[in-house]
Amino acid sequence: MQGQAEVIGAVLLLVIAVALWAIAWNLFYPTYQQASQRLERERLLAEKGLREYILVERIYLKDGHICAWVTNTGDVQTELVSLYLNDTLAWSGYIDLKAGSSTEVCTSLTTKATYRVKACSYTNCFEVTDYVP
Amino acid sequence: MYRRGQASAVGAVFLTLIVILLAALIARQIQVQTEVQKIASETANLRSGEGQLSLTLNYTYLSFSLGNVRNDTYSCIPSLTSATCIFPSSTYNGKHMLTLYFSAINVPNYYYNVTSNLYLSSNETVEATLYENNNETLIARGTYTLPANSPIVITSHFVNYTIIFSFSSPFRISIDFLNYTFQAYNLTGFYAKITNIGPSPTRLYGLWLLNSTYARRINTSTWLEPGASQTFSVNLPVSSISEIRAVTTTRINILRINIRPPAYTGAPGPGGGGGIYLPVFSIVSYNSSIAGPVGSRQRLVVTVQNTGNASGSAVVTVIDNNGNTVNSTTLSIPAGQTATATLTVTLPSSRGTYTWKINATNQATGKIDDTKTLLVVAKDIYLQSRGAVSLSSFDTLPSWTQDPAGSWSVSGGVLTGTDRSPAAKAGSIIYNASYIASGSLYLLVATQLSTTGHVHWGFILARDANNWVFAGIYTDTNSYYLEAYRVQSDRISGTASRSGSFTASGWAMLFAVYTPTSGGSSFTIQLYTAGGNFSYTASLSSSGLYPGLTVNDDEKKQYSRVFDNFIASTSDPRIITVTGLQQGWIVELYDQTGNLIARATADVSGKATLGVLASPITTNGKIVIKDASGNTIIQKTFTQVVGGDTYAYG
Repeated sequence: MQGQAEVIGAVLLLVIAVALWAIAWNLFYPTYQQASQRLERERLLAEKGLREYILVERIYLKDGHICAWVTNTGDVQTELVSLYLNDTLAWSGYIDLKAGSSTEVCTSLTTKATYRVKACSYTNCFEVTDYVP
Repeated sequence: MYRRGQASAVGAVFLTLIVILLAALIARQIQVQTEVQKIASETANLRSGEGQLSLTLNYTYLSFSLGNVRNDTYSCIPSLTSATCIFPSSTYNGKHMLTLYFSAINVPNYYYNVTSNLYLSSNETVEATLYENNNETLIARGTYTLPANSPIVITSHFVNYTIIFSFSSPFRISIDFLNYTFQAYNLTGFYAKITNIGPSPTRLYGLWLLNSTYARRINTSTWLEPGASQTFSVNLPVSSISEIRAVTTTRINILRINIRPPAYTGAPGPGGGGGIYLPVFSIVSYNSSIAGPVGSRQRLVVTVQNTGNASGSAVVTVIDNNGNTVNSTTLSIPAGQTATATLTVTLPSSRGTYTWKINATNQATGKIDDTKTLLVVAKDIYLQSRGAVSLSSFDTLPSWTQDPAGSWSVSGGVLTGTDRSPAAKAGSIIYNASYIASGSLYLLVATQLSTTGHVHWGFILARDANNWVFAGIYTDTNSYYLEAYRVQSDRISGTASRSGSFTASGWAMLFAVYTPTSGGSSFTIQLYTAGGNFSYTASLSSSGLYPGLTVNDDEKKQYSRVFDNFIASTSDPRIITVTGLQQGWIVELYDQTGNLIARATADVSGKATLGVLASPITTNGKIVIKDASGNTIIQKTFTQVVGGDTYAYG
């Protein structure tokens, strides 16, 4: 009889221990998962920021307005969201740029001059100086 | 004691789990940081040394030619496959001499330098002097001793030269071979070689070829290892390019070039010439103006004369008002001759008058020899004026003022008015209070004829919800009448002015012209039905302000009438006018499903009048203008085409 009680006690202890682990797991694992996912997002963002590059190849007049030819020369897909001429916002929007692809962005500015042109994605801004012939 | 043990066990479980998860997170964080640092390092290394490029241009080619040899009596072309040319000496003032003239057979129009190799031999040891022929002047350039019976090669750098041989006794010169090698300027294109002179691999994304009016991008995606290069073939003369931009990952390499072709050299005939000549171009005739529909392609004819003393090529370029090249072509024109170019240009997409330029650029000098101004008129169909001041196609119920006792609703694209006003009241009304009639007003509406009940229905000009003037239709269950009356304090004032009775059926167009007079107003009412038209004119002792509609059921049985396409207009809504046309041109109006609504031909004044009585409001209506032969000149879709509109083409 004494032997049986010890076995039952051991089994009960095991069941209690497993149950406690399960409760603890359900409590803490979601928090762990959220933290882990945030880390992954930060890693992806940091990688995009490092690998991307937006290059303004030239600026020129088209239909009386200053336009810029912009190319994604980075290794990852990025997006063009704004263009500044001499630190003035000349264009804003959203254009997907696959790696190696180019796009034309036209502004409302019309004056021929030398400009500091800044092309921005959500992560970085890239600046060149060019002139409108 | 036992419970404390249990609590400790639970605490240990929780603590262990937290420690394990925290450790996993910290390990992941360290791994992420390591990966990011690695990427940063790789990217920085890759980009730090890239982008240092050099440009080499190759815009020449080698051109080969045989030569011609002559003396005063005999001419010969020595080549490897033909017989040797033999020239004997003659006696001059007791000396034995021979003068030979050498020239190339095929001389490129533009070349930088020339090398001539003359293979000859003599049967005696003779003295020879080589002279360059420069504008008929002989300039001594070298002396040679030709050993007897031993072939030699004389190399010179002149296209035309003379050699005078002399000896004390008769001799004979044998010319075995004469050839020329020209380093010629390539008019058709050039090669641009980009070399990576930096320490790291560089990715090349493209090459821009630019001048002040021209831009072209050659796309590429090439990795250039240090020392490696890529060559681009460009089918443009190098003199037409002022800047080349090589695009790499982080920088643009701007390479300025300023290469002009060598002066045109008039191709000399055998043994002669060799002077420097230049073509000069002048535009002698051209279209001083072109006009057409916006976005259309038009032909431009330009005649260019070469007023210079050498043949050459002129690039005729059409430049728009923004400085962009619209089209260009190259003409090869002999000296003193003219040539004509036909260029197709696309007119601007917005109507207006623009000033463009036609340039004639001398390909030999790279300069614009002549420029002309071109007036460009881009025409479009546009709405010049709209007479409609209040309108509705009743797709939805307009937010007009309604008599509270009335009932107005829209269903199936028609307006239904029901008289729910109490007995002895003057009916239900709906009117647009946002427009006040101040003069004559044209009123048009479609309505379905019905003899049910004793009902008055048609137009009103309301002063307020209780006072208005009416012009429309009355039915007494047997016939119809056109009538007009005045409503005061929501009651018909006096007796209605009414036409004789008539019968009709179906949908009809009710039209009225309202004119305020000194004592009141007058209405000219017309009803267009499938069975005939009816009209009636009435005068009233009052006038109104706001255009609208009414249904007035004398018996107060809540009878209804339906309406569609209501227009109140200051111009006749039964027509649409299009001006600015040529006599005989045809104008057509189509609805959005492509059904022809109206068609008219322009009169001598260039005006076409389209009757749109049956469809006075066309949503997404397309106006098409055709010439007298039926060819479409232009077409344009308007959100709404309304009777009374005036459109213009210009």
